[in-house]
Amino acid sequence: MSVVYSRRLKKELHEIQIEQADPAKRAAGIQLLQAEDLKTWYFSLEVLGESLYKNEIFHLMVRFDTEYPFKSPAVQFVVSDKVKPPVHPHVYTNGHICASILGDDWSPTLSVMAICITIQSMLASCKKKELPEGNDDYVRTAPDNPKKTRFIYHDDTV
Amino acid sequence: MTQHLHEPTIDDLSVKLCFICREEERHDNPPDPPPLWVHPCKCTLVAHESCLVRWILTQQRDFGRSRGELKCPQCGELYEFEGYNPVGLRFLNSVNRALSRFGRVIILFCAGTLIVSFGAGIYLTCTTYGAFAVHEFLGPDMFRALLTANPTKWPWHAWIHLPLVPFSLIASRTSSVLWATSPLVPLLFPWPSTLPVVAAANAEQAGTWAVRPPAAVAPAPGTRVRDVPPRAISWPHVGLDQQGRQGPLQPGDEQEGLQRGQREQEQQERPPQLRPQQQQQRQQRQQAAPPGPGEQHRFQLQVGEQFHLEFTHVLFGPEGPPADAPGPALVAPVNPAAGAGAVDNLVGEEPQQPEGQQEQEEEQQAQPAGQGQEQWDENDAGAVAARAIRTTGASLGRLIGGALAMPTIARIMGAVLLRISHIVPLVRTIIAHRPPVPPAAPAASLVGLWGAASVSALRLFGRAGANADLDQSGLGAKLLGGFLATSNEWARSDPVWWRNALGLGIYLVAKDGLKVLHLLLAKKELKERHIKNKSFSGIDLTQLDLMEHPK
Repeated sequence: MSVVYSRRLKKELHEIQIEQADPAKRAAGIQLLQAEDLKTWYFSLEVLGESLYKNEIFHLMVRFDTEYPFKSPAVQFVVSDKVKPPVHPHVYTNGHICASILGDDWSPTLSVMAICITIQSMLASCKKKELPEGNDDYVRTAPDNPKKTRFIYHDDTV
Repeated sequence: MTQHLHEPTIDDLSVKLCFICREEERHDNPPDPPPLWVHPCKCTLVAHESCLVRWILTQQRDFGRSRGELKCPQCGELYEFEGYNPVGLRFLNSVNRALSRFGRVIILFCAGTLIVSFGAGIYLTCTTYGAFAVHEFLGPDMFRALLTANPTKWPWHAWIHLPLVPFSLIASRTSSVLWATSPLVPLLFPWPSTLPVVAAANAEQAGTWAVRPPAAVAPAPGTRVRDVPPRAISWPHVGLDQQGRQGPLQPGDEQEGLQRGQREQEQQERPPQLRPQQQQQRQQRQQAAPPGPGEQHRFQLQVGEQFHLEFTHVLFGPEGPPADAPGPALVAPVNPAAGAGAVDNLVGEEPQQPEGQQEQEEEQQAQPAGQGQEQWDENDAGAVAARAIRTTGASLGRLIGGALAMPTIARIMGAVLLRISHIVPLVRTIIAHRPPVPPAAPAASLVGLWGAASVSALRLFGRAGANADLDQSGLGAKLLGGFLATSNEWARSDPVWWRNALGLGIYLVAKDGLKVLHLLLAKKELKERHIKNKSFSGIDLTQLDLMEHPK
């Protein structure tokens, strides 16, 4: 029902904007860049503190469909001239992310901010910068929307 | 703060927040109509019933989660359902799942049956053809003696050898020595002895056959079966290579020889590989025919060792042929007007050795300046590959057809030889013709007419050897007879297979000879081709740059 979808997104957006305006509450390193409609939002992500990705800025693109929140949104890193996706064992060079919360483990209790924070902590806890296995094959044949890929979630220790 | 003496229910919450749609509902300001709320688990999450039902439905449908897996995301408490869940529905659901599993098994079974029946059909076709080939090649009498038309009476090894016959016939048209003699294995070797055939021994024999020089005639002691004297097999093989097509193809020429230059796959690979080399070597060359309909083909004659030497000597001067390198190349044009048929296009290959160069110069003189070369250079690899594929499509058919027709050709030629033998006694001796003996006749002696026939045959072809060969052949015949005595039919009956094999050999030699003749004629035509001059009449003279004092 699009009613659920639009109402919830409006609420989330409202909350995020309030948080962003208040420096005390704003989640560190995560910033809403653009949210003009209820279809595609852009965030900028930075990993603060000591980490492999120090001083690197990434952009996240979040796309919603009418099934939200029953289905997870499509989240991927932006690949452009100005920003590149991080080199992480769960991030492919086309920006697609292999994360269980974006697939099987998604539930309506999560939110867009929760996704951003999860991804941020995923980057922060990374021990070694490397590309995922089979990156080239996947990038060559991947669909545009990462939700169309059947990720196999393994190696949660990374 | 009010003390609650009873357990609070969902209605006691002052503000209800649905964790799915994030809608708030205040206790004192419910929407109209008020939606149903549910608290399905042990933690504080509450939700609209409709939202939760939809969430559960999504989980079930898209993730295939069964009822036992639906739980609260925060506390993990299983959701329990109440309401309409009759035994009938549960039963039908489980039956449905069991049937689905069963259905998977069925589909695998169907696929397997399809494959097996397909294979069985091919097997039966090949076996039928094999029986037909044996009938043709060995003659109807031997066929009746060995196999009979009733498959239930066939010996067990027939079911292995007969299906192999068509494959080995087709494989015999390759240049590999082992494959070239393979038709003998299923076609002839098993039959003379009723004992099971040792495949390894036969393969060994097949290998030794082809490389046996013409002088050696006597069979090695301990040879199991020798149905065809070696000379007939090591008779110079003449076959055609088909390599390096250049133009659009028409059905390849006659390929019916005992050997083929290359297999089809190699042919397809060759044109792209040859192209760079050909381009270098052909910079000065010319394709005789004009561009467009003029496709030029090259062919190559690859002959057995003995014949190879002669051929090169005659045409190109003394050149030592490499062991297995391609032989000299003749260039022959495609004659589109020649039509499809036996004397059709010729296909060949750019020689990769220096001896090709001298022929190149010949061609260069014979032909006008190279426009066709440029056109050919412009063709991309895709077009070349397409042509190659078209080639093998038609030429493959000719190869297979020729291979499978060999038993029939053998029979016809054998019949022709028989006819001749009625007229010419020498031929009669050669083919060792005897009147057919009814199967019930008692066994003849070891070295009977069959031995005499074999001795005469060996003597005839053993002329290259010393006189000692005669004794050897006599011994060989005795040994041979000894082995053949195990099967009386072979010892007594008319050796149809022998004249059939002879006839086939003669046919093949004649065919290849015709092919060589064709090539020679075409080459001659190419060399001596001139373009006819026509007059300048009718052209406006001012357009021509005439000399001031025309003669």
